Amino acid sequence: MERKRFIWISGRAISNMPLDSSFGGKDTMDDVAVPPPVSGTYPVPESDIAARVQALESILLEKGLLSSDAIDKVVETYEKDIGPMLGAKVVARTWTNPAFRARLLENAVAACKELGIGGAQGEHLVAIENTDKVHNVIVCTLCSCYPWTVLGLPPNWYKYPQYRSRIVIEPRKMLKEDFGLDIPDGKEIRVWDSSSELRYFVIPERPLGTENLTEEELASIVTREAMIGVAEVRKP
Amino acid sequence: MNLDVTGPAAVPRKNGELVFETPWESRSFGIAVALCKSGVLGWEEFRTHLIGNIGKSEKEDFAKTHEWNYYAIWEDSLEHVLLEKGIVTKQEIEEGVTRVEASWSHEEGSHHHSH
Repeated sequence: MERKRFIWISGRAISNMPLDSSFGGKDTMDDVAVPPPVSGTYPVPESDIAARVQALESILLEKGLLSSDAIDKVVETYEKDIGPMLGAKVVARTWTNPAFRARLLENAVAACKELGIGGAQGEHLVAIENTDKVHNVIVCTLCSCYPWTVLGLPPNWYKYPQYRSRIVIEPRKMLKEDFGLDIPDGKEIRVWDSSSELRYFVIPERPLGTENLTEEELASIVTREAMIGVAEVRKP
Repeated sequence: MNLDVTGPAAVPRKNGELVFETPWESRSFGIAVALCKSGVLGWEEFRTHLIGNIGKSEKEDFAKTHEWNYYAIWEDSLEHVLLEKGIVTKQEIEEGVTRVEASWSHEEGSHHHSH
Protein backbone atom coordinates (compact mmCIF):
# COMPACT_ATOMS: atom_id res chain seq x y z
CA MET A 1 0.00 0.00 0.00
CA GLU A 2 1.17 3.44 -0.79
CA ARG A 3 2.63 5.36 2.09
CA LYS A 4 0.51 8.31 3.03
CA ARG A 5 2.22 11.58 2.37
CA PHE A 6 1.89 14.35 4.93
CA ILE A 7 2.37 17.99 4.22
CA TRP A 8 3.20 20.51 6.89
CA ILE A 9 1.18 23.66 6.92
CA SER A 10 0.60 26.57 9.20
CA GLY A 11 -2.19 29.04 9.71
CA ARG A 12 -4.81 27.83 7.29
CA ALA A 13 -7.72 29.92 6.16
CA ILE A 14 -9.98 27.29 7.57
CA SER A 15 -8.51 25.78 10.64
CA ASN A 16 -11.04 23.14 11.47
CA MET A 17 -9.17 20.45 9.67
CA PRO A 18 -9.03 17.72 12.23
CA LEU A 19 -5.81 15.84 12.56
CA ASP A 20 -6.02 12.57 10.83
CA SER A 21 -6.62 9.85 13.38
CA SER A 22 -3.68 7.94 12.03
CA PHE A 23 -1.38 10.82 12.84
CA GLY A 24 1.23 9.82 15.34
CA GLY A 25 0.81 6.28 14.18
CA LYS A 26 3.72 3.97 13.90
CA ASP A 27 4.27 3.76 10.22
CA THR A 28 4.13 7.32 9.02
CA MET A 29 5.23 10.00 11.41
CA ASP A 30 7.65 8.37 13.83
CA ASP A 31 10.09 11.17 13.77
CA VAL A 32 7.90 14.11 14.68
CA ALA A 33 6.43 15.28 17.91
CA VAL A 34 2.68 15.49 18.21
CA PRO A 35 1.72 19.01 17.16
CA PRO A 36 -0.68 21.30 18.95
CA PRO A 37 -4.22 20.45 17.91
CA VAL A 38 -5.62 23.88 17.12
CA SER A 39 -3.20 26.43 15.80
CA GLY A 40 0.40 26.59 14.76
CA THR A 41 2.07 24.09 12.53
CA TYR A 42 0.92 20.62 11.91
CA PRO A 43 0.95 17.99 9.23
CA VAL A 44 -2.11 17.17 7.22
CA PRO A 45 -2.50 14.22 4.93
CA GLU A 46 -1.97 15.25 1.37
CA SER A 47 -5.35 13.78 0.50
CA ASP A 48 -7.00 16.49 2.65
CA ILE A 49 -5.52 19.17 0.47
CA ALA A 50 -6.40 17.27 -2.68
CA ALA A 51 -10.00 17.12 -1.45
CA ARG A 52 -10.05 20.86 -0.83
CA VAL A 53 -8.79 21.54 -4.33
CA GLN A 54 -11.43 19.31 -5.85
CA ALA A 55 -14.12 20.90 -3.67
CA LEU A 56 -13.08 24.41 -4.70
CA GLU A 57 -13.12 23.40 -8.33
CA SER A 58 -16.62 21.96 -8.16
CA ILE A 59 -17.99 24.94 -6.22
CA LEU A 60 -16.56 27.38 -8.76
CA LEU A 61 -17.90 25.29 -11.62
CA GLU A 62 -21.36 25.24 -10.04
CA LYS A 63 -21.27 29.00 -9.67
CA GLY A 64 -20.33 29.34 -13.32
CA LEU A 65 -17.12 31.18 -12.49
CA LEU A 66 -14.92 28.60 -14.13
CA SER A 67 -15.07 25.86 -16.68
CA SER A 68 -13.17 22.61 -16.53
CA ASP A 69 -11.91 23.36 -20.00
CA ALA A 70 -10.40 26.63 -18.87
CA ILE A 71 -8.45 24.87 -16.12
CA ASP A 72 -7.36 22.09 -18.47
CA LYS A 73 -6.18 24.65 -20.94
CA VAL A 74 -4.08 26.53 -18.40
CA VAL A 75 -2.49 23.36 -17.11
CA GLU A 76 -1.80 21.93 -20.53
CA THR A 77 -0.35 25.17 -21.75
CA TYR A 78 2.14 25.28 -18.93
CA GLU A 79 2.93 21.60 -19.12
CA LYS A 80 3.33 21.27 -22.85
CA ASP A 81 3.58 24.52 -24.76
CA ILE A 82 5.44 26.86 -22.49
CA GLY A 83 8.75 25.79 -21.15
CA PRO A 84 12.48 26.34 -21.23
CA MET A 85 12.66 25.31 -24.88
CA LEU A 86 11.27 28.74 -25.70
CA GLY A 87 13.96 30.55 -23.76
CA ALA A 88 16.55 28.26 -25.33
CA LYS A 89 15.39 29.38 -28.75
CA VAL A 90 15.80 32.99 -27.75
CA VAL A 91 19.29 32.39 -26.35
CA ALA A 92 20.43 30.53 -29.46
CA ARG A 93 19.25 33.44 -31.60
CA THR A 94 21.28 35.89 -29.49
CA TRP A 95 24.37 33.76 -30.10
CA THR A 96 23.98 33.74 -33.85
CA ASN A 97 22.49 37.15 -34.46
CA PRO A 98 24.13 40.15 -32.75
CA ALA A 99 21.44 42.54 -33.94
CA PHE A 100 18.77 40.37 -32.34
CA ARG A 101 20.82 40.24 -29.16
CA ALA A 102 20.94 44.01 -29.02
CA ARG A 103 17.21 44.26 -29.59
CA LEU A 104 16.53 41.68 -26.88
CA LEU A 105 18.64 43.47 -24.29
CA GLU A 106 16.95 46.71 -25.20
CA ASN A 107 13.40 45.35 -25.19
CA ALA A 108 12.95 41.68 -24.42
CA VAL A 109 9.20 41.74 -24.91
CA ALA A 110 9.39 43.04 -28.47
CA ALA A 111 12.32 40.82 -29.41
CA CYS A 112 10.60 37.68 -28.10
CA LYS A 113 7.54 38.57 -30.12
CA GLU A 114 9.68 38.37 -33.24
CA LEU A 115 10.05 34.67 -32.41
CA GLY A 116 6.37 34.30 -31.67
CA ILE A 117 6.98 34.14 -27.94
CA GLY A 118 4.83 36.20 -25.65
CA GLY A 119 1.46 36.27 -24.00
CA ALA A 120 0.65 35.69 -20.36
CA GLN A 121 2.69 38.05 -18.24
CA GLY A 122 5.27 38.34 -20.97
CA GLU A 123 5.00 42.07 -20.79
CA HIS A 124 7.45 42.26 -17.90
CA LEU A 125 10.29 40.25 -19.34
CA VAL A 126 13.87 41.49 -19.07
CA ALA A 127 16.92 39.74 -20.51
CA ILE A 128 20.30 40.08 -18.81
CA GLU A 129 23.52 38.86 -20.35
CA ASN A 130 26.40 36.97 -18.84
CA THR A 131 29.80 38.22 -19.94
CA ASP A 132 33.37 37.32 -19.13
CA LYS A 133 33.19 39.85 -16.30
CA VAL A 134 29.70 39.37 -14.91
CA HIS A 135 27.66 36.32 -14.01
CA ASN A 136 23.95 36.81 -13.39
CA VAL A 137 21.51 34.73 -11.40
CA ILE A 138 17.80 35.23 -10.80
CA VAL A 139 15.66 34.68 -7.74
CA CYS A 140 12.36 35.83 -6.33
CA THR A 141 12.92 36.54 -2.67
CA LEU A 142 9.25 37.16 -1.92
CA CYS A 143 7.51 34.30 -3.64
CA SER A 144 8.22 32.65 -6.95
CA CYS A 145 8.08 35.27 -9.71
CA TYR A 146 9.69 33.76 -12.72
CA PRO A 147 9.95 34.48 -16.44
CA TRP A 148 7.07 32.13 -17.30
CA THR A 149 6.93 33.27 -20.90
CA VAL A 150 10.36 31.91 -21.74
CA LEU A 151 10.96 29.31 -19.03
CA GLY A 152 7.54 27.92 -18.15
CA LEU A 153 6.95 27.16 -14.48
CA PRO A 154 9.80 27.30 -12.00
CA PRO A 155 11.49 24.17 -10.72
CA ASN A 156 10.76 23.27 -7.13
CA TRP A 157 14.10 24.30 -5.73
CA TYR A 158 13.57 27.82 -7.11
CA LYS A 159 10.56 28.13 -4.83
CA TYR A 160 12.21 26.73 -1.72
CA PRO A 161 13.06 29.07 1.15
CA GLN A 162 16.65 27.83 1.18
CA TYR A 163 17.37 29.02 -2.35
CA ARG A 164 15.44 32.25 -2.03
CA SER A 165 17.27 33.44 1.04
CA ARG A 166 20.75 32.06 0.55
CA ILE A 167 21.37 32.96 -3.08
CA VAL A 168 21.08 36.62 -2.10
CA ILE A 169 23.35 36.38 0.92
CA GLU A 170 26.14 34.19 -0.43
CA PRO A 171 25.62 33.59 -4.14
CA ARG A 172 29.17 32.50 -4.92
CA LYS A 173 29.20 29.94 -2.14
CA MET A 174 25.74 28.64 -2.92
CA LEU A 175 26.39 28.34 -6.66
CA LYS A 176 29.48 26.30 -5.88
CA GLU A 177 28.14 24.14 -3.09
CA ASP A 178 24.61 23.53 -4.31
CA PHE A 179 24.94 23.74 -8.06
CA GLY A 180 28.57 22.85 -8.66
CA LEU A 181 29.10 26.10 -10.49
CA ASP A 182 32.45 27.65 -9.70
CA ILE A 183 32.51 31.34 -10.52
CA PRO A 184 36.07 32.68 -10.34
CA ASP A 185 36.69 35.30 -7.67
CA GLY A 186 37.50 37.95 -10.24
CA LYS A 187 34.08 37.67 -11.82
CA GLU A 188 31.26 39.75 -10.42
CA ILE A 189 28.01 37.98 -9.51
CA ARG A 190 24.77 39.92 -9.80
CA VAL A 191 21.62 38.56 -8.21
CA TRP A 192 18.39 39.81 -9.75
CA ASP A 193 15.31 39.78 -7.56
CA SER A 194 12.27 39.23 -9.74
CA SER A 195 8.89 40.73 -9.08
CA SER A 196 5.62 40.53 -10.89
CA GLU A 197 6.58 43.69 -12.77
CA LEU A 198 10.10 42.64 -13.70
CA ARG A 199 10.88 39.07 -14.63
CA TYR A 200 14.49 38.51 -15.50
CA PHE A 201 16.10 35.72 -17.42
CA VAL A 202 19.75 35.12 -18.08
CA ILE A 203 21.43 34.95 -21.46
CA PRO A 204 24.30 32.56 -20.75
CA GLU A 205 27.64 32.74 -22.54
CA ARG A 206 28.03 30.70 -25.67
CA PRO A 207 30.44 27.86 -24.99
CA LEU A 208 33.70 27.75 -26.92
CA GLY A 209 33.95 25.21 -29.69
CA THR A 210 30.35 25.55 -30.84
CA GLU A 211 31.07 27.64 -33.94
CA ASN A 212 29.88 24.91 -36.26
CA LEU A 213 26.54 24.27 -34.60
CA THR A 214 23.31 25.45 -36.20
CA GLU A 215 20.95 27.69 -34.30
CA GLU A 216 18.70 24.71 -33.65
CA GLU A 217 21.56 22.64 -32.33
CA LEU A 218 22.61 25.50 -30.12
CA ALA A 219 19.10 25.78 -28.70
CA SER A 220 19.23 22.12 -27.74
CA ILE A 221 22.19 22.64 -25.39
CA VAL A 222 20.72 25.62 -23.52
CA THR A 223 19.28 24.46 -20.22
CA ARG A 224 16.72 25.96 -17.90
CA GLU A 225 19.37 26.11 -15.16
CA ALA A 226 21.65 28.16 -17.40
CA MET A 227 18.86 30.68 -18.00
CA ILE A 228 18.27 30.97 -14.25
CA GLY A 229 21.98 31.45 -13.81
CA VAL A 230 22.85 28.42 -11.71
CA ALA A 231 24.67 26.64 -14.50
CA GLU A 232 26.76 27.33 -17.58
CA VAL A 233 26.02 25.99 -21.01
CA ARG A 234 28.37 23.19 -21.92
CA LYS A 235 29.60 22.14 -25.31
CA PRO A 236 27.76 18.97 -26.38
CA MET B 1 -8.14 15.24 -19.67
CA ASN B 2 -5.12 13.09 -20.23
CA LEU B 3 -2.81 14.41 -17.63
CA ASP B 4 -0.58 11.59 -16.69
CA VAL B 5 2.01 13.19 -14.52
CA THR B 6 2.58 10.57 -11.87
CA GLY B 7 2.25 7.23 -13.58
CA PRO B 8 4.80 5.30 -15.56
CA ALA B 9 3.52 6.95 -18.73
CA ALA B 10 4.40 10.42 -17.47
CA VAL B 11 5.83 12.63 -20.13
CA PRO B 12 9.52 13.13 -19.55
CA ARG B 13 10.45 16.76 -19.20
CA LYS B 14 13.21 18.40 -21.02
CA ASN B 15 15.59 20.04 -18.60
CA GLY B 16 14.59 18.15 -15.56
CA GLU B 17 11.80 17.63 -13.19
CA LEU B 18 8.07 17.48 -13.67
CA VAL B 19 6.20 20.69 -13.49
CA PHE B 20 3.66 19.28 -11.07
CA GLU B 21 4.17 16.39 -8.74
CA THR B 22 0.54 15.43 -8.33
CA PRO B 23 -2.76 16.10 -10.11
CA TRP B 24 -4.08 18.24 -7.24
CA GLU B 25 -1.10 20.55 -7.58
CA SER B 26 -1.80 21.14 -11.23
CA ARG B 27 -5.54 21.65 -10.56
CA SER B 28 -4.90 24.19 -7.85
CA PHE B 29 -2.53 26.03 -10.15
CA GLY B 30 -4.98 25.85 -13.05
CA ILE B 31 -7.94 27.08 -11.00
CA ALA B 32 -6.15 30.17 -9.74
CA VAL B 33 -4.66 31.10 -13.09
CA ALA B 34 -7.95 30.53 -14.91
CA LEU B 35 -9.75 32.77 -12.38
CA CYS B 36 -7.15 35.48 -12.93
CA LYS B 37 -7.44 35.18 -16.69
CA SER B 38 -11.20 35.55 -16.63
CA GLY B 39 -10.96 38.50 -14.25
CA VAL B 40 -12.71 36.86 -11.28
CA LEU B 41 -9.52 37.40 -9.32
CA GLY B 42 -6.76 39.91 -9.78
CA TRP B 43 -3.34 38.38 -10.10
CA GLU B 44 -1.89 40.92 -7.70
CA GLU B 45 -4.46 40.29 -5.01
CA PHE B 46 -3.89 36.56 -5.24
CA ARG B 47 -0.16 37.05 -5.21
CA THR B 48 -0.35 39.24 -2.11
CA HIS B 49 -1.95 36.36 -0.24
CA LEU B 50 0.58 33.94 -1.62
CA ILE B 51 3.50 36.08 -0.52
CA GLY B 52 1.99 36.52 2.93
CA ASN B 53 1.42 32.82 3.40
CA ILE B 54 4.83 31.85 2.12
CA GLY B 55 6.43 34.35 4.45
CA LYS B 56 4.46 32.99 7.39
CA SER B 57 5.30 29.41 6.60
CA GLU B 58 8.98 30.20 6.42
CA LYS B 59 9.04 31.45 9.97
CA GLU B 60 8.19 27.95 11.04
CA ASP B 61 10.85 25.38 11.67
CA PHE B 62 9.11 22.89 9.46
CA ALA B 63 10.20 24.88 6.43
CA LYS B 64 13.70 23.65 7.08
CA THR B 65 13.08 20.23 8.48
CA HIS B 66 9.94 18.95 6.81
CA GLU B 67 8.40 18.85 3.45
CA TRP B 68 7.56 22.33 2.36
CA ASN B 69 4.91 22.19 -0.30
CA TYR B 70 4.48 25.22 -2.45
CA TYR B 71 1.13 24.19 -3.87
CA ALA B 72 -0.32 23.51 -0.42
CA ILE B 73 0.39 27.15 0.33
CA TRP B 74 -0.94 28.10 -3.09
CA GLU B 75 -4.21 26.28 -2.38
CA ASP B 76 -4.51 27.89 1.04
CA SER B 77 -3.96 31.32 -0.52
CA LEU B 78 -6.64 30.61 -3.09
CA GLU B 79 -9.09 29.76 -0.30
CA HIS B 80 -8.15 32.94 1.56
CA VAL B 81 -8.73 35.21 -1.39
CA LEU B 82 -11.99 33.55 -2.43
CA LEU B 83 -13.32 33.80 1.12
CA GLU B 84 -12.16 37.38 1.51
CA LYS B 85 -13.90 38.42 -1.68
CA GLY B 86 -17.04 36.59 -0.67
CA ILE B 87 -16.91 34.42 -3.76
CA VAL B 88 -17.24 31.29 -1.68
CA THR B 89 -18.15 30.73 1.96
CA LYS B 90 -16.53 28.53 4.57
CA GLN B 91 -19.66 26.49 4.71
CA GLU B 92 -19.62 25.85 0.98
CA ILE B 93 -16.02 24.71 1.16
CA GLU B 94 -16.60 22.41 4.11
CA GLU B 95 -19.67 20.89 2.49
CA GLY B 96 -17.75 20.51 -0.74
CA VAL B 97 -14.89 18.74 1.01
CA THR B 98 -17.33 16.39 2.70
CA ARG B 99 -18.93 15.58 -0.63
CA VAL B 100 -15.58 14.95 -2.30
CA GLU B 101 -14.39 12.70 0.49
CA ALA B 102 -17.65 10.79 0.46
CA SER B 103 -17.31 10.23 -3.27
CA TRP B 104 -13.74 9.00 -2.79
CA SER B 105 -14.63 6.49 -0.12
CA HIS B 106 -17.45 5.31 -2.32
CA GLU B 107 -15.02 4.84 -5.18
CA GLU B 108 -12.57 3.02 -2.95
CA GLY B 109 -15.37 0.77 -1.84
CA SER B 110 -16.11 -0.16 -5.42
CA HIS B 111 -12.41 -0.55 -6.29
CA HIS B 112 -12.09 2.54 -8.39
CA HIS B 113 -9.13 4.71 -7.63
CA SER B 114 -9.31 7.97 -9.39
CA HIS B 115 -7.62 10.44 -7.13
